[in-house]
Amino acid sequence: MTNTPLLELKNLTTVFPTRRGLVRAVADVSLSLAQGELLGIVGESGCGKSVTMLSILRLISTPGRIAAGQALFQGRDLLKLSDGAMRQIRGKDIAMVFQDPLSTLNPAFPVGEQIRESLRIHHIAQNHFAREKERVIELMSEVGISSPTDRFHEYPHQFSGGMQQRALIAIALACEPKILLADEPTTSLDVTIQAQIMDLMRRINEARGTAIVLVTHNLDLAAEFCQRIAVMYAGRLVEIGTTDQVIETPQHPYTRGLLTCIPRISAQRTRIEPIPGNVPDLANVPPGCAFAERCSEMQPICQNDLIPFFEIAPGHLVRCLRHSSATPD
Amino acid sequence: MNPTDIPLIETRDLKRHFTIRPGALARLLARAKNIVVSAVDGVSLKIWQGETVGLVGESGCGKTTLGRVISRLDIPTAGEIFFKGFSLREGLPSGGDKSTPIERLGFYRVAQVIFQNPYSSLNPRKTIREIIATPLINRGLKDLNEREETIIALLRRVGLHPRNLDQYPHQFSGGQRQRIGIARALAMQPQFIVADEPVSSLDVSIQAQVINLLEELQDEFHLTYLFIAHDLSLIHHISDRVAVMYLGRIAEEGATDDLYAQPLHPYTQALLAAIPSLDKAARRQRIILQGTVPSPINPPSGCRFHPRCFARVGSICENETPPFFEVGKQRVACWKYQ
Repeated sequence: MTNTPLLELKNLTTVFPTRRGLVRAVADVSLSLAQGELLGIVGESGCGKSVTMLSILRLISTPGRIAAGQALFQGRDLLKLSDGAMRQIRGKDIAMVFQDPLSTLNPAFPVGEQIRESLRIHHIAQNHFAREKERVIELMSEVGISSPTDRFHEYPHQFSGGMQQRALIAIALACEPKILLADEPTTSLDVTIQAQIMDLMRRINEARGTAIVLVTHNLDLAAEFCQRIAVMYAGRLVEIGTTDQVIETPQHPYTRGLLTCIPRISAQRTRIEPIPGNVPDLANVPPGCAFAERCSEMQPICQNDLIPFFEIAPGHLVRCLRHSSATPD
Repeated sequence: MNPTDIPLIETRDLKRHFTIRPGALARLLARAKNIVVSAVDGVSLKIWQGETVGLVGESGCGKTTLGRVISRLDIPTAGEIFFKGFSLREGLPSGGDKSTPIERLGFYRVAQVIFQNPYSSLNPRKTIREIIATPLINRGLKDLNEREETIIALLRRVGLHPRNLDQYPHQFSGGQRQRIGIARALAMQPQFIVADEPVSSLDVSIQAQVINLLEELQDEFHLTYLFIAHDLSLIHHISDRVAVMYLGRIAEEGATDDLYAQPLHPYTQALLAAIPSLDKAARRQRIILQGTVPSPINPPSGCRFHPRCFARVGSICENETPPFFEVGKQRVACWKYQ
């Protein structure tokens, strides 16, 4: 990670005006992704992890808008590109796998056609039908769809959930993207199928060097798959570090809460420690640390001002005043 | 828990089949026949007083249907359910329901359900007071003041404030709604609760709150739980015994610690291996199952797991349904242990 990162988010802020006020779904998020890296973004529902992904691809629909920040892809700011230039990148250099495959695939077109669409749009096979179809079949077998020649003509409802997710991955991989954004790719799937899909994504990463951003609420899944993990809470990043740093020496009380509130299979059964209270209303996030209200180590100063990041070890950043002795980043 | 005692709930060869009748046109033109989906296909299970039995399996394996049949929300196609040795109904003809409303109410007094989806299991037109009062009225609590006091006590017990009494379900968060569902189930003073994925729709930090509440209530009211979930870590945490279901049948059953320490059925082994784990050292050898759960419309012959199985013994797996073999204290339906 010495050279320039493949993707770098700088102070990205995405807002949605609502009747209750301005919802800052993503607030001041800075992140970097290196070539071939596996990065996990972990948080509960509504913490802004999916909106971060959509913001990178500029898929935020009005009245939502990206209010501030930069998203640098190979040094170019995606947020400043023209719509046409953005379309060249979206799906070709940066592709996305969405959470719910059945609602993402178009029910009215055969699956094979939908995979072919991205080849056609990005002129991968010079718009030559036979060559495109050949490539689609290659892709389908690569992601583990059996008898792809027959299944090319089948419709999404004829695929099982796991197969639909594989088809979505095939669409995302069609143009050999440099970055794959996977938004909860296995949440709607059973554990045995989840293992198949994660194994497939790991093989893609190894074979092609595709950088993958895995967005998930499952810290265990991120820990097993990713090299680095970023934890989000109420629209902000609260902790970033390598997987070992975040899992073995979690520093933010929220990260620690996430780790102790899930039951784990171990010889002795311990009482799970719930995080008290609820996630704050994003239209009305308290000043200071958004987690302060639920935090057992809260001090009065936590609620005053925005907490900066403190670097407590190389590459391990945490937004918590307990580490204020460390140098602010 | 004395094994010589009569179990609180016992099912014997319980079946629930659903018949899908094709449309008139399909019957006429394509001569389509009725399709039978065997959602639950011969489940024998004993649940003892005071214990928590975890029922785990992938989607479509029939665990919810089994929960519905055991709690008598649904009628079994065949087989029997015994409550403290008393048969809920003898010689059940398929389809029809012959039990009288009073008998059914009688069972509802001892068995209650906590549902998966707290958004659809509470009536949006009723206030919390009305929702919790209904079972109290059915229980025969006629005195208004007494009823009000009971409602408030129940609400406080599940961690809600009495000022919420006149609010409607949509004014609550998912976790709070699940607490209301729990209060409603408790209002009947049941002995047995079927909890069908009670936390799967909640955020992780809220899940722990509800699980701890369920555990406290069990100690306080001496409840027996049938806890249905797909999350193996959660099942491990909450259950005394675990039954693993695959395509309408129980594949393996045993005490939680035994079953997790030494899974016998290849399916249980694969399920446990598929859980992502934080602990690098403890990561078991990864078994990645091929394919998906077959359809219960045309389940595979013999052992229903054989098309995905990596430890087949021989043709017996494809031809004959494995009975339960006792291995130690576990019961496993796999020919390997013959």
